[in-house]
Amino acid sequence: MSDVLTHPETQRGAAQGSPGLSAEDRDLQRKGRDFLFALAGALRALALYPLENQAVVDALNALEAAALSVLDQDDEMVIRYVGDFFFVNDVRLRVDLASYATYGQVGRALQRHRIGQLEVFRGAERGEWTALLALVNSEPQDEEDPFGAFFDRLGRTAVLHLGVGPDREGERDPTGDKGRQIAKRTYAQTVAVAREAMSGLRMGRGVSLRPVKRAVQAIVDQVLTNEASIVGLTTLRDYDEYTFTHSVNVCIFSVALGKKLGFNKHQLYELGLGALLHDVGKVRMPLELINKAGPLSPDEIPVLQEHPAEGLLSLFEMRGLSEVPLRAMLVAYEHHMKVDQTGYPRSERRREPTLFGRIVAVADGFDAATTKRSYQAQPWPADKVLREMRDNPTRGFDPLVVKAFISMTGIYPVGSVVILDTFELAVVCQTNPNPECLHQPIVKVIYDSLGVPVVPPTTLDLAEIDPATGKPRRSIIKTTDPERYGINVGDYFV
Amino acid sequence: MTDSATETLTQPTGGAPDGAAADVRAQVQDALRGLAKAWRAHLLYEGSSPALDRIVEGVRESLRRTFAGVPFFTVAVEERELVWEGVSVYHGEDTDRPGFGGAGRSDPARENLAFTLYRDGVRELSFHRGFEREEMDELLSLLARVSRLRGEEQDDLLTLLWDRDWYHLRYRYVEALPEGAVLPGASGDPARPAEAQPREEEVQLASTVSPEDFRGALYFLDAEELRRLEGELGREMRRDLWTDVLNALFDRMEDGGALRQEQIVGILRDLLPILLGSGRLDTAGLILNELVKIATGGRRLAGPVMKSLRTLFDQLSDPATVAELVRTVEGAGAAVSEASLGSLLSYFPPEALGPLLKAAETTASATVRRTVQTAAERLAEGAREHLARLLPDHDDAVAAGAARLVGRLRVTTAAGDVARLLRRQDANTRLAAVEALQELRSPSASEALEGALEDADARVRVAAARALAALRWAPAKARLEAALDGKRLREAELTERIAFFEAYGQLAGAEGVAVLERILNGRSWLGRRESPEIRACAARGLGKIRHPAAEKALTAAAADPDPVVRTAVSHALKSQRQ
Repeated sequence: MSDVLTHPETQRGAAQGSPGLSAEDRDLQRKGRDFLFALAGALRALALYPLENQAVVDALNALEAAALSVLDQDDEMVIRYVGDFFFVNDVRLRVDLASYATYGQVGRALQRHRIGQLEVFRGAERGEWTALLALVNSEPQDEEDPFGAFFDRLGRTAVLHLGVGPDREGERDPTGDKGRQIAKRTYAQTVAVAREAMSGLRMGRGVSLRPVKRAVQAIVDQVLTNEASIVGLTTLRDYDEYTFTHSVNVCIFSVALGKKLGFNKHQLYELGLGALLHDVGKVRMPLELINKAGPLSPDEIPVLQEHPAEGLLSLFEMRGLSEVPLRAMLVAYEHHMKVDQTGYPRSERRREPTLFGRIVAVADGFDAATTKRSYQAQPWPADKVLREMRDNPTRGFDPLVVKAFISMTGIYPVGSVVILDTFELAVVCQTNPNPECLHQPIVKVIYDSLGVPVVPPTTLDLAEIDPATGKPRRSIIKTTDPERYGINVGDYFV
Repeated sequence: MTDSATETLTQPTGGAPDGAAADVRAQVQDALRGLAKAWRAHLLYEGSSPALDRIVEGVRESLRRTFAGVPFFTVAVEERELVWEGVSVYHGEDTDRPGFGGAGRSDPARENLAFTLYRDGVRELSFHRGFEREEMDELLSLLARVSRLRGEEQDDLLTLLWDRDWYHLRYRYVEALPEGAVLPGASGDPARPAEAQPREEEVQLASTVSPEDFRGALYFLDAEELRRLEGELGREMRRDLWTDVLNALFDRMEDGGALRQEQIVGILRDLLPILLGSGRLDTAGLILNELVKIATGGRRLAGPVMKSLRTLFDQLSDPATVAELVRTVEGAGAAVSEASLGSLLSYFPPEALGPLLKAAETTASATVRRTVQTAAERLAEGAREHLARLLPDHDDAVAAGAARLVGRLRVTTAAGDVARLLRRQDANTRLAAVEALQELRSPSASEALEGALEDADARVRVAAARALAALRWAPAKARLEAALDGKRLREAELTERIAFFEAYGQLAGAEGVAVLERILNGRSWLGRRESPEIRACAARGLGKIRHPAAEKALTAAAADPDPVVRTAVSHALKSQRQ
């Protein structure tokens, strides 16, 4: 049974579209968005200029006006930051292509201090705002309890009409175990569903799409609420289960990228469905060809290249959709097409590969290249794959989608094994939420410089600055092959 | 279903104080029964009726009363009932079960809301204050949609619920996903000693990549890139995916072997009714167009594939296929254009013409008739001989439709067959024949029309009189003149009288003035005049004659004491002077 299919924290206010909102709530959404943009502007201005600078004055004027606009409607304003979403007086703000970066900036600024809630009451004065924002812009004072330190410091200022609350996500599940458990269950179930569906099709059985739909919905829910955990699981590698884990990984990467690009929930579902089924045509390929170790012969290549077309045809045989899954069909058909229309299958009639197909092509290319599988005994390092996808136009990926993908995964994607300048060995466990630190991910140090396991692994933010030197405490000097060290990266994500 | 589900279901919810529990239970019971009733009414009235509106408003009020006491309430969904805090608050009837097995639709009035929810996996529902205001209508529509679409093709309830963000409704469900699935690929022992030492590895700075390598890709997309993506997403969501999918099928059909070709023809055959059913006539037309191109192009299709194609095109002329198509056009109304239908029908074989004509004759909608007739005309243009062969069809509707089309297309060689339709029992067929004969404009057609002046059906006689007048078929003058004095015309309806008098005036010209003047202004030997209506008709007849004698006769009656006559005379004089 689903514990929180409709996540309690994401009940009021849709991420996208908000079709069920009253006019009043939609108005609040608009005002809340204005407030967050004003807040972002004020934080930025205060970080760059002195208080008397006109840019700061303008930014604070805008902030006060935006706050008053909300307070005209409601007596108080409570901004909550939950997961990747902002709520203003319990109405969730719509995240779209025109807002996600600003929301992310404000979210990260609050998150550094583990602030999950900001309260604004009538009567807040200019001095109160500047005091609060200066504290938000300052470095956290206590690594163990950054919110506690922030709260203490705020208590020492003359701020009466502004309040903060802790990150409730952290309180509710301090270790994150529950979230990880749900992510693991979702991942395992989706692999099982993919296996069942593809095996059923291979055996010529009628396959119901209902469990597949449910699995994709669960992946979308996870990406929306628990992205780090579910993306972390894409590092699981199982040679024998490659076809299925690969499909699930492509689904996760695609949905995460779609989220980054501002897709709404239904669009993410369609993208995820296409991604999960992108290789469904392989069920019509001879098993000995799919499982062949080593490179394919010239005769075998054209046979395998039929799998996108077979995927399109296979999807006409699935049951359980009131509508023909056109997008999924096109994703299956186009995921090996290049943006210049080369690649395969060849098109005689006019065709412009769909955006969904181009997204899945990138996710597919990345996961396939970084995985050990038949035809590829030695996987590529993730960072090299990203560079190749970006720099080599003959690969045929959409440059814009690749760029967005890199900004999602970071230069060192989750699961990369890296050597630090301390000669410690670490696994990248999370992309740095600060987009300017994509080369400085969050890592788990798993072996010290002598090769002794660090138990439990130490989690480090590589963007962290050593106050003594003004430089990062640790840096990555290179990525390395986990097999060289006998490391199963997936172990660190389950 | 996991254990956690049952735990949750038995938890007291709703937050009502003990003393008020009975009241709340009664209110919850009332609200849920109302909700079930509204859902059934939704099914019964297909989502729209004043009765449904009244029921829905009743439920809204009931929920409003409930939420005045508690901010929310939660019910467990069991197979046959909804349970609030351990007490059944809604119980469906026992007789409705068979309708849910997919064997057919049950009586909506007997469907069980609990079972509908339960069957699709819903196990708990929480209704929160505000639901009645903002989400109840949506939930009712969604439940009705699920109930209407039975069978494997339906969108399941959970998908529809998931697809939407609910603010005042929460639900729990049992997984359709496998339980106990094991994560692949984890060894479960991450703390083994390392098999090598990082220091031993050849380390060069930036030996793989450096942040500088990625400077161009970092960090966020710029404003222009964001705009591009936003535009692309918008276009993507509006894109005609059908054309993309179909083009892929055609490409692969052209370069595939016989097996694949046959499979694709099978898919296309299955798609056609889906597309037609959803009113996508242009897309269906695209399929037929491409199939014709492929079949007649340079590439030779295998024998069985050609046979499948022929079968497919043969099916298009099946009366049932055409009837379904017309039903689609009727359902789609203005959404289907004459051009789309015409374009689609251009791929239909001539054999489809008969069923199509029948459909055009029998449809209740004038718009659909016009659309279908126009489309049929396009099809018939290239199949005139086939059209003529439909005239003797034993089905009156087909014969009548064929006659009309023969007339519009001026297939003069078919005049004899059309004239023979005047002997049919069915008055509509005879009427169609008269209309066609008028269009054919041939002497034999006009001769046949004369006979229709004596037809048993007034509509046919009227049409014949008007047709003869329009054709200026002078030989009909004598027969019309005889009719003017006849008893039948005096007992006929006004329309027929006017038609005959006007036709006579038009055909007789100055020669007819005397007859008409006698009727308008004359008296019998007893000094009696004709009835005012007959005199008025005579005035209308004189109005058709542009001659001083006719004007004089009309002027003599211009001051007639009878207002009916006076008005008719006035109009006739005016029309003469125009």
